[in-house]
Amino acid sequence: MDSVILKGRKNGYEITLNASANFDDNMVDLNRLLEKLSEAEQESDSDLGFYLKTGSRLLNDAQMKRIYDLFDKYKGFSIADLQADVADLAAIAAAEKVNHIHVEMATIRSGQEVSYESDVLFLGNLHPNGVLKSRGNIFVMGDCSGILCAGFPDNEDAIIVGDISNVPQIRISDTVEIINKKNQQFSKSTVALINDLHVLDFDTLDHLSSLRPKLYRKMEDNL
Amino acid sequence: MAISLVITSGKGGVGKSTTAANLGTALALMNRRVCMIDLDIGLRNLDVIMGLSNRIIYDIVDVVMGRAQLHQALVKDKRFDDKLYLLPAAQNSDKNVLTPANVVDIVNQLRPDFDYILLDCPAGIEQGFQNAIAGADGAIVICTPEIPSVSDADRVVGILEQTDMKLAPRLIINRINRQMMNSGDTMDVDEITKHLSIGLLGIVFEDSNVILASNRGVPVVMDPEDNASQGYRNIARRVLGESVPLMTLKEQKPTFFQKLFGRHQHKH
Repeated sequence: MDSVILKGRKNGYEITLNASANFDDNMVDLNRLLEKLSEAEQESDSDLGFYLKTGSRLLNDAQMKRIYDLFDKYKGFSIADLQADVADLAAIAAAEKVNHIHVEMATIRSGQEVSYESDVLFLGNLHPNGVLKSRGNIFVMGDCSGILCAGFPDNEDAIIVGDISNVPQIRISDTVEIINKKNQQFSKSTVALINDLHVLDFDTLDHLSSLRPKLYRKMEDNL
Repeated sequence: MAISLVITSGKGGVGKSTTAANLGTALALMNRRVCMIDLDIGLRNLDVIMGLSNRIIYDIVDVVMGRAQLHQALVKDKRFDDKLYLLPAAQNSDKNVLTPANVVDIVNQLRPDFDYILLDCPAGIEQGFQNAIAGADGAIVICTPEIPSVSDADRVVGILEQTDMKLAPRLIINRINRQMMNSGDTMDVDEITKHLSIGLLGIVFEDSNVILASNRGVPVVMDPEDNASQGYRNIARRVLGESVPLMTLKEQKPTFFQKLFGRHQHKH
């Protein structure tokens, strides 16, 4: 039973399948372990949920099915959770897409719409009638004369930072603001955000720690 | 083998056909064999500017529909020996008859016989535009110093950049009113070029002779003394790879006698 280890944890039983062993050996040992446990638990009526850990082995669908089928054979035993310490490349790429800041240096021309899943640091040129859309925040350092759309479609916490003097319109989540230079002064440290009244509002970067503490901490951690 | 260039703008009325006619004529004057193709089906006017309307027997749609051979539809401009030909657009056909594949096929058939093929693109970015850019190795984008024109040119450049053309698009700023540009009433040449971020092929000044020439069916570029003609000739030389300085934007001050006799009023 070397390739399978049973441990008692605060929240229940944890079974670790040794990733360096052959998976078939894992299954044989797991079957033997469950057999033993079922004999010991025969008199108990309560259900036991096990937390399975597969270490650095990422199970495929067939392997996962074999494990679930095995547990189905033992009445009262079930799998509460099945986890590996690794993730597949597609999942990592998807997470990366959302979490990292994308640096965009391109020219977005009239009629073009560029969308991102993550935060965007925009260093390029956004021409009139062009649209820069992001699910996250937008940090503007380039020339912007087109529409900026942060937190699309429903991220109310998103912000737009930078000089938006020449931007005709900004959108955050489901709110829209037509920029009127006469009524508002913009600078590099302008922050556009949705306030507590769900109205698109403007502030300055030095208040970011109180306006969006989570984002502020995240940015500090990244520095 | 010919290089095919599409002359496009997005916006109408900025001088696409005029530029195609004058650039084609200028290249023919420089001893290059040129074929101009009018792709504005239903609203053809390249033939009018060239003064060739009365000589059209077949058009591009006739060729595509198999009613005529390609060489039968080509209209030869007798003023330039064997140097300049026009393939006219149809005036009364459904504009959707033509497909990008048809244009590519026609351009490829013409390539061995010419040095340059100029495709006169219709306004807009619909089917006609797609047909025109499909057959082109490169694009010449025309804009005037007006924001709507620059904005449309920007849209067109965006589309052109997404298509796989052999040559990068180049810009002609047409109908420049020197007085307005010098006084800052319109965007200046640098601003437009910087905004569109493509190479500048040339500038052409606003000139009433261009309208007169179009009405007469004699492209203005045939008059070597004319201001706009000089602009088109410079553009043709740059197309051929020569390095030609831009024309000056400074206005010529009328002399005392010109003022006295009012002769300067006709010059721009």
